[in-house]
Amino acid sequence: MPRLLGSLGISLAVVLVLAVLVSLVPGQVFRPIEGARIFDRVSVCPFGGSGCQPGQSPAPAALPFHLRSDHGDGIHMARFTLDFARTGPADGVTAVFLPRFSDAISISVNGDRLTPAPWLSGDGRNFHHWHRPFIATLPNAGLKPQGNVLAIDLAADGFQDISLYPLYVGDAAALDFAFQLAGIARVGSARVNFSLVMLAGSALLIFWVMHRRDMIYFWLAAASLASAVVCYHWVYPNLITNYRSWITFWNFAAAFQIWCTLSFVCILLEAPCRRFRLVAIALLAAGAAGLCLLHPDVFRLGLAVYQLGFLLLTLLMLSTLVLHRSATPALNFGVLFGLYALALALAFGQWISRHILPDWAPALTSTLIPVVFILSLLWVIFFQLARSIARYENLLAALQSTINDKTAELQATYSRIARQDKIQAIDEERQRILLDLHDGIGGQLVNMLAYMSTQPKQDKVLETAIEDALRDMGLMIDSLEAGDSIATQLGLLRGRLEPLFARHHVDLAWQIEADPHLPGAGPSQNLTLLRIVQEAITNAVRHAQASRITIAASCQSISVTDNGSGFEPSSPERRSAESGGIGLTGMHRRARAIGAELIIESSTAGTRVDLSWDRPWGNAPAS
Amino acid sequence: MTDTAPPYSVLVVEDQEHTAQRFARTIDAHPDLTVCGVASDLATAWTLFESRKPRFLLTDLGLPDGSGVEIIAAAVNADWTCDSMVISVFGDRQRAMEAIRAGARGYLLKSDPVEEVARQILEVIHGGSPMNPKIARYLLDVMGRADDIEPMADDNSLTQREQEVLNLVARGYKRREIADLLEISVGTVGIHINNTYKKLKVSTNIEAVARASKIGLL
Repeated sequence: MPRLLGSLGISLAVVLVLAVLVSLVPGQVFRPIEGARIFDRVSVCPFGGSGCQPGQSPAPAALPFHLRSDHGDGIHMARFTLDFARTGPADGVTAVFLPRFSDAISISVNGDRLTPAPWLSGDGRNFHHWHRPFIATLPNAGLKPQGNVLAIDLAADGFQDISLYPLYVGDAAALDFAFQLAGIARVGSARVNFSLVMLAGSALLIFWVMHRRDMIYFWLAAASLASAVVCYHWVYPNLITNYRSWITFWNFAAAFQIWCTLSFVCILLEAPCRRFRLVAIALLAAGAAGLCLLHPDVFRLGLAVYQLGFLLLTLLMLSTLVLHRSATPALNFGVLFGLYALALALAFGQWISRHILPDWAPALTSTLIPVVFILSLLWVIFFQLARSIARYENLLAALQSTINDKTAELQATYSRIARQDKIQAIDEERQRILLDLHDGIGGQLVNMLAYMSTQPKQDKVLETAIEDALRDMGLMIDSLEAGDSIATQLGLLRGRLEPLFARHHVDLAWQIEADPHLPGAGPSQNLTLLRIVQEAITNAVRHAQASRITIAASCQSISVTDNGSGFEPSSPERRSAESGGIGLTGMHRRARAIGAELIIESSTAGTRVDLSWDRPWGNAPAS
Repeated sequence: MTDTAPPYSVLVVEDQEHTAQRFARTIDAHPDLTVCGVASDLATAWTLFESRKPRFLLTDLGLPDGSGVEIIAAAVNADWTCDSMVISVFGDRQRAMEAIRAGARGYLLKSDPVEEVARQILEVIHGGSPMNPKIARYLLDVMGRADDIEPMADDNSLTQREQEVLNLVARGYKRREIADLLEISVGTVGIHINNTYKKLKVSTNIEAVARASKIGLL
């Protein structure tokens, strides 16, 4: 509550300062116009119909002159008369120019009515009470050189004043120019305002639909359309013939415009003012209904109170802005608060002039309020647009960076896939070569062996050579297909050696207790290992005439033991030449190449070939 | 032809003339087996297969006019019972698995001893499944299950015992040796091996899994 009172005080102070500043702008000055005479003294017959009533004599009156009705009901009238001389040549034109008056006008010259007086038939549609300028041109031909009588009939609804300000009679051209100038500030600006609020209202409605039903745009559109009703008053004849009904409607439109603006402010600042808004609109509607029911004599007072009410609502809207200003950027708050405070100051000035000081004619008129309102609309649209663009650009930047990240990711994936495709292509190529070896050379070697077995003359050397070649090819193919498992390759080796064992009646003890693992080795190192083992086994079968061979494996060793005749390990050349295989020298060389230790012990009781390793093959001593 | 009574008829499909004849001689020499035809290409094989209705099909895969896999598939779908095996020089894994999935019951090496050829053919005819280290390794790689994963009701992966058996086969142990090591009967070893074959046929996605693990996606 103290915060609300504080912000209310701040708002009120700002509005009062602005109101004082506005009042300091010099009021309307009635300057002499060259070629025309200014009249600030006239005769007046109050409440006259077509001249002074019987028993009534014209009274002198100094302009500006204000006449208040003593009863609120119906229409009251006054006739102002003055004598004037025509200006210029006899075929020229004299004009009557009233910069400011209220409310409806009809003039007569020398007893002839020149403009109609529709209010005489009860038509209140031309009552506007807003001091529009008026000009009437009078052909000199119909005028006397001197002593012409101009009668100005002014009429107003019972609750409003009749006002007449100094007026000019003289050269039509000069007065027309002054009339046009006055028209720009009043009728012209009123029309421009009307068009602008209609345009802004439509644009905001479209914004509302396009921007996912953002209520900010909805309430501003509603405020604009309410403002259009307010401006309509100064542009076209009133919509309702009964002037007081129209004025009530018009005031409600003004109040509704303020209420819609309040709704916009609440949403913009995310202020919790739902209940306040509901109470406010209910009061405004009830007030308007009350005005309709009010006795004509107190309608003017009721109107003043009602207007004070929606001026107070504007003040509360300003305090809401102050209270929740942290919800919006300082610039947005500053501009909106300034414009709304200015509008309130202008409206307050109008209220004072209407209801308290009719003689005070502020230069800044009520048509300025829509201008201030339009400025606030433009600002909101501009600000929201700027913010949308900023957000959009931020989003775009974020998206761009996401796209960059994803593109990089995608490229990495592509190159990985490309690498994999390459690996797969190599793999497929290897498979193809494998199959060619298999079906081609392998198949033919087997076929040759089959052929040789049917021939009467057996060539053992050739047969052994072919069998060795086939076995070596088998080792190569195994290493390509199961190169990572030495145990499986040993198992496959056993399968291929089975016919050899069978032929030589060898009893095999198979003790592969673990999968031997040569640390850091690949298929090619494993292949070398298998070749050493194969050589050891075939040596035992072919040359040592062993009847029992034991093949044992652990994680770090493979051994081949036989019970054959043995040999002299120190003379490997002899063995090598005889066997046609790689020989003991080759076995030692290969063992060194893979960093394994090869120990061959042989006696007449048998041979033991022990292959072991205890470190990764890559760290083998470079001997 | 009857399914049960020996001698059982064998069709040999092999394009290498002497190899084919060696197989034919080997098979004919066995009292329970008889060769009903020898074909050196797929077209001849089709004709002989349809007319002789063999009990057993022994075929090479790389034939001059096509792949032996086609006729293996035909043997599976034949009106009569016809088991098949592949003849292979080295038993290359890719084609061996292809043939096994088509319905072959394993492969014979061209270098296998005479008595081994007849023994394996008869083993298949009597409902067994020869298994060799390469196929065992492959099955362990694609169907083996990590120890810490609980088996599910419809799980098609291998049991622990099956894995043990396959592991020993992969290391080159014979059935007799496996039976001794695990202290079970030779017949039980055969049942475990038969079961792994069945599981391989059920798992339709096996090729996809194998490929996935090969290119490193899994």
